[in-house]
Amino acid sequence: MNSNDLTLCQEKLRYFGSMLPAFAHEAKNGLAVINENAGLLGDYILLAQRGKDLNLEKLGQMSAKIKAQVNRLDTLITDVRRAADGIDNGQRNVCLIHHVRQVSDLLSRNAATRSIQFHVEAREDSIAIHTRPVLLLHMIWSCLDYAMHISDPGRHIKLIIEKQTEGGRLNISGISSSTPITVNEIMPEAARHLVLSSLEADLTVDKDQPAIALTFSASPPVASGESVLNRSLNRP
Amino acid sequence: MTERILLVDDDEDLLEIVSERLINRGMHVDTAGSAEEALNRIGKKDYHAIVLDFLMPGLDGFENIKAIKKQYPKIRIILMTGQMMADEGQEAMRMGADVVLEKPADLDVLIQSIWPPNS
Repeated sequence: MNSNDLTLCQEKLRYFGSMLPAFAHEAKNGLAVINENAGLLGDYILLAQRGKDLNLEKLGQMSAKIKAQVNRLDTLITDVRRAADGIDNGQRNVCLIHHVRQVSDLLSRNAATRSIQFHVEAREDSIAIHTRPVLLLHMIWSCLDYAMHISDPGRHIKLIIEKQTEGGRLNISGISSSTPITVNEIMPEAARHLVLSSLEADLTVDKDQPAIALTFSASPPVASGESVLNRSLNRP
Repeated sequence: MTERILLVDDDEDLLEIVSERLINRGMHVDTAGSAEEALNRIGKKDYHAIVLDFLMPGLDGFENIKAIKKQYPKIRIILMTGQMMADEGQEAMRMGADVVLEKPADLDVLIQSIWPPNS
């Protein structure tokens, strides 16, 4: 393993170190809702045993809430498992929109503590790029985390995802900062060059707006048309 | 157990269910969906305890505890969290939290935290 490989491994580890506490928080919150619904169901059984009528409408609502939490947890766990699958250096076809949503969902609670909200906008349902998934998630996370930390409370940060002739682009706007934004604060130079090179991506900042743009130039290799691409796309 | 309790969480589902379960056990419960709403409510009623989510929109958990304990030192603060390291738990206690509970917490444990057996 050469020093570049080692740096990329460190960056992947850095991503999991940042992401897993947020994942754990969301997972535990979902479990808490399921746990309290189970407890309330137990309360209703006790009351029914003492002769009180069961409120079937309420039971239906509880069932729906449990199902919603199970679906949410399933999505969270599936995403993390897929990220773990992509820990090797292999390239995969992934949906840029799905990965941006995944990161913004996990960061949204921390953002809310700063009264900041993320808004994902995309015209397409999916934008396929050929890339290294964990490094992609790490780069998106680093950009969003930076945008969130430098912005004033109350900001609505827009995450606009656009299809490009080759690949796709994430534009982060709505940022506010008292000091000029720099790419070095998003990720240190040496690691950034390696990660961007591995992703076949460009990272630029517009100090005037201010805004951050991540451009991915690698579309999935076309095998035999769109149906093959969709089948291999790494999204739910 | 007739003194009032304030539940504070930005998750509406959790707030509604925990509130109903505590009310079913004879407690007087108010709810708040944000730190700002909680601070507003505390000023208007006399609360025995506050059950507070650590991560809330507008303020972080440490700031919430500090702000409440500074104004209302007698209120018992039970901090609920889905994400806290041991040193953060100690910091929360240093700031004024009486108990730190990890989600999902058993209701009986929560009640014992609100009303410790020797209180």
